[in-house]
Amino acid sequence: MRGDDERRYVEYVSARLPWIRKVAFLLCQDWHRADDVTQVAITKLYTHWRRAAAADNLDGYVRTVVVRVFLSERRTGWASRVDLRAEPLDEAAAAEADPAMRLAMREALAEVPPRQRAALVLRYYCDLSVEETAEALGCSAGTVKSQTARGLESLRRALDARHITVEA
Amino acid sequence: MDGGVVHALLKTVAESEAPATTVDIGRAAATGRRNVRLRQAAVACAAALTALVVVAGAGLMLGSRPERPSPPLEVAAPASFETLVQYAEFGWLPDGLTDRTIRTEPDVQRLVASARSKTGVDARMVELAAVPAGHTIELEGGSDADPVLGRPARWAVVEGGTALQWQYASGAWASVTVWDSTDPRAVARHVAESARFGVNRPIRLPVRATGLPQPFQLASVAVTQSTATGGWSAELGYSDTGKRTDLGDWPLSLVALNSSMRTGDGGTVGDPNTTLDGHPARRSDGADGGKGLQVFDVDGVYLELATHAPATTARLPGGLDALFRGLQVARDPSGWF
Repeated sequence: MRGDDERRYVEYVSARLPWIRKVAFLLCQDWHRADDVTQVAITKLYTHWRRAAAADNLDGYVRTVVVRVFLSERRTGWASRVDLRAEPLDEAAAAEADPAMRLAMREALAEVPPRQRAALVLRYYCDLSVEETAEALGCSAGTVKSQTARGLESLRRALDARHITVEA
Repeated sequence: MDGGVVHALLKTVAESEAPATTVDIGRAAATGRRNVRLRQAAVACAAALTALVVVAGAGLMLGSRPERPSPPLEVAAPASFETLVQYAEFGWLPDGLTDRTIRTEPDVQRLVASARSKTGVDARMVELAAVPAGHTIELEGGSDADPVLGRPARWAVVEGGTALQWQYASGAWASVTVWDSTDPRAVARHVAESARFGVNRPIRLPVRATGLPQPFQLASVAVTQSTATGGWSAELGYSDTGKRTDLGDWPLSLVALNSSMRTGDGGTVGDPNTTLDGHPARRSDGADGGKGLQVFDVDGVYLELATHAPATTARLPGGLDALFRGLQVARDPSGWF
């Protein structure tokens, strides 16, 4: 990658990292895994930067990469990626900052199977059309519709179990 | 439940206060850079991976230059490599590269000499690999080079770097790529001319799996040792099908790291969620349908065992727990198997 390309890559990822992490977190429901998915996704982005930078919708390209990394996540990380830190991630503190309702919603969302959850996140958080979601997931529009319907039903059951009412 | 409600719910969850990120953009760039090089090599030589020697990092300085080495004895390249036998070794290397990695698979062996860096961006690295007889290396932008020890050679273009490829034996190729060096061709040539092939040295491992059922064969090995820190890691891939999964994993993988950590690292390694035989442990399910088991501080060693397909899990009597209990582990390299 040329120097200008590398600079643009770093600028883009630095600016969009919070958003990428949020998408990854919605998919993973776990900040450890979300960061892992994000790390892999931005590595893939670097590898394909020229093609990505030429895309009409760079955010859309990155979103697709994140989703596909999530769906194919490898649990066995390379030992070289292990970063032994003196201070562990302060997830407990973050959790304490969550209102009880937000935590319950997270738990409910986490109960939705991964592909269904991905369909929900892409359709209703990223506001993608059925066709765009199908492209991101690498499946047909019909599959997106069925996964979305099942995901909504799974989410509804999980919310009901926690006595959370979200009807409009 | 309509879309607006779901959107609001997801937005609420997404706005959860995030802990400090462990994402490292510099590390992503460094790894991506390396992937680009490997991808180019892989594309170029079709089914075979290529041999690369990569020197990464700005300001690479040449170490003391040795006398021009004598041509090595002619070796006959094998048709494939044995997973637990080191076939090639470095001769001369630039100064300051304290870590060594060997990665072996039947169709490629790679040796890496590297210097550690917190970000990875400026990490200096030399990677040497060889492919067996019958495989060629055809990277983009090749041009003729002076022979290496009398054997055909060529320069090739690798992103941001310069690769020297040559026939290390009749019909078998190796390559040296120099990255971000002030004198990449000189470094590449010296590394290439001093590399040795056909050394056939057994590779010793810090962990040994006993009791694996017959279908499983060791398919890949990667062992890293640091002379700077005394640290080491080992990654072993096993196959019960003779091939990788669709997602590129070996069906069964085992990682060992000389670390007595008892919690996660805040990044790659998650915190324990259970115990196994008195050790902190973490169980997980993968999106690929496999199972994961991490066990902390097994005599000072961290272990990860994972399957990458449901059928692989089913072929393990007693599952990953039994596999873990059948492991022999040695933290001290003097006791490796």
